[in-house]
Amino acid sequence: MQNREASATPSLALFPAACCWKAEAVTARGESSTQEAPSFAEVVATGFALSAELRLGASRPVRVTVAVPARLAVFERLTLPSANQEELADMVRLQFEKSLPYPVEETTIGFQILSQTAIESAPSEVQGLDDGNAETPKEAGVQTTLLACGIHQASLETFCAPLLERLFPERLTLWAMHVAAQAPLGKTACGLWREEEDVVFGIFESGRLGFLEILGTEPESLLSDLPRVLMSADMAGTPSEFNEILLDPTLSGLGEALSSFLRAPVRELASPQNALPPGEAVDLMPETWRKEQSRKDKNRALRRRIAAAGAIYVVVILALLGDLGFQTRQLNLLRKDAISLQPKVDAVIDRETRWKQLAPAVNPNRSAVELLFQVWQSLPTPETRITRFDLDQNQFVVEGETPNAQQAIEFVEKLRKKPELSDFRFESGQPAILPNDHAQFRIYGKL
Amino acid sequence: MNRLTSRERLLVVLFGGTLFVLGNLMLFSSMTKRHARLTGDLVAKRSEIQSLKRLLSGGESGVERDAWLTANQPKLTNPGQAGVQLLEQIKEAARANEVLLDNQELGSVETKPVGRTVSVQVGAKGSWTNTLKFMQALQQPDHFIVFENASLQVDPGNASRMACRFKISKWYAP
Repeated sequence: MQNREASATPSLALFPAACCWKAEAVTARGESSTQEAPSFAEVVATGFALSAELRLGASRPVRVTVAVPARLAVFERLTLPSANQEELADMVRLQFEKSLPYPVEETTIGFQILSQTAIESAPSEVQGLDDGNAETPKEAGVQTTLLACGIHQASLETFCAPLLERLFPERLTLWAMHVAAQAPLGKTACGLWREEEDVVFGIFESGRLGFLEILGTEPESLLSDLPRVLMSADMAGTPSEFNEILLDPTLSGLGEALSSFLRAPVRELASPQNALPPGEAVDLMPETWRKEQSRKDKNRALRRRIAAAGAIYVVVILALLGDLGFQTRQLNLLRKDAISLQPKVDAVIDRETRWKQLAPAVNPNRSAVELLFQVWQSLPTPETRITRFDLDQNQFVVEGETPNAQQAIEFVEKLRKKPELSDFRFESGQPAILPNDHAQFRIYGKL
Repeated sequence: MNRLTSRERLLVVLFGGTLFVLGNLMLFSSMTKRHARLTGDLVAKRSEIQSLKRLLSGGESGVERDAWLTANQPKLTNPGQAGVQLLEQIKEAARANEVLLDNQELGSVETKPVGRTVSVQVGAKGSWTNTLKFMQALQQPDHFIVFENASLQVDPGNASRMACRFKISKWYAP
């Protein structure tokens, strides 16, 4: 395992190597680990196993980048009269369509700018006469030289199928552009390396891929093919004199012959860094993949929100059930308390009932003589006379006469206000007026 | 399995959403009802327990009264003589208070919730004051004598006297 500069996002890079594929996993702490597999399908499995081993994606999704081999792509070197990126894209599409072996609609197209030069137009006579600077050349615009590359989407989807079953890559590049990044800036170099079984020859202009051709699977036939390849490059406008030759270590046996043929020093190609700065390598991700990835991301976010909502829902339900359970438990405890208190309460009630039942015998306020005394004390005037007093278990009745009806009513009111007679409820009808103008009353005191 | 079309997905979501909402309505409705019922039951039960505790805290005097009753309420040892004894007690009080008795009737021993009772019915004549003193002499708390019925009225033959009819009982312990 190697240590790299700390990277913010854990990543997994899949890229071709000599007679195999490699998976390089980088952790969030910048630790990297690389493993090989014989095919792309197997390197996908190996890469994900490596990711799992390094616990990549434990807290966020793994960022997967893929560098595809040159055999999947078509290249064309173009020189176009614009510097505007959008205009260049449209022009590349139009120009590239002519040479593509399949419909442009089914092709993912990208390009890498190699150089931009100002175009000078011839001076106009009219202008020259008007301003007196007829011989000064005028700048008409910028001419851009670029390398366009296209990949047939159907072929790409077939190739990447083992990966697409799991996820869409975040970035799809051409491995040759990663190799080109090792070439010295400001100089022209060529490279010879292996991608799977193929031997690939590329020309690099200031660290960017300017020309590429697959030479087949037999390195020994390279020297015989090289003049033809250089002629093709020359015809395409690519420089064919090199300051340096970058050679794959697996092809080191050809170094001396190449050096003498191309008259340039040979440098061994180091294990290329797969992670290029953004913009250094063209991203060839098909738009449909991006949309599908975006849809999947949205679905994943939706699922996360649904899961969060579900968790909250479950918590709310559990809280409500817990509250119900708590209240039920409280109620059961109170019921137990009530049951435990009941015998004592029954005893108290029994004693109270016994006392109330015996009240006529033991409570002075309920004795007949006390009732009579209270009634006598309530007489409003000495002229008021009691003529009859009847008592039984539930009530007593007082009959009598008063000098007038008003005193009879006063008598009832006084009885009602007597605290000693508060157990009784008093009822009386209208006093009867006697022939001598006296009032006769009858008052009931009921328990 | 074929993937669902967007319309089918919409229908599935609508159907599932409706089921979910209805299920939740039922669930929350039943939970709310249960919660309300439990809250009501808790309040009622707490109130009941407080009442019981109040009742218990005020029960000390009841214990003392009960002890007094147990200690003082007479026990019926000779049911055959109880009525006669009560009548003698009444006669004694009448003599002491100058009240004339008539129409004396002995009752039988009865069993009531308050215990066993022996009653005597008597007629009485006397002044208002003497009658009251006679009644007071009989009905003292430790005598357990009760005027179950008392009818007092001015004597039609002599307005200065009271003509009374009493049913007097003595209450014995059960």
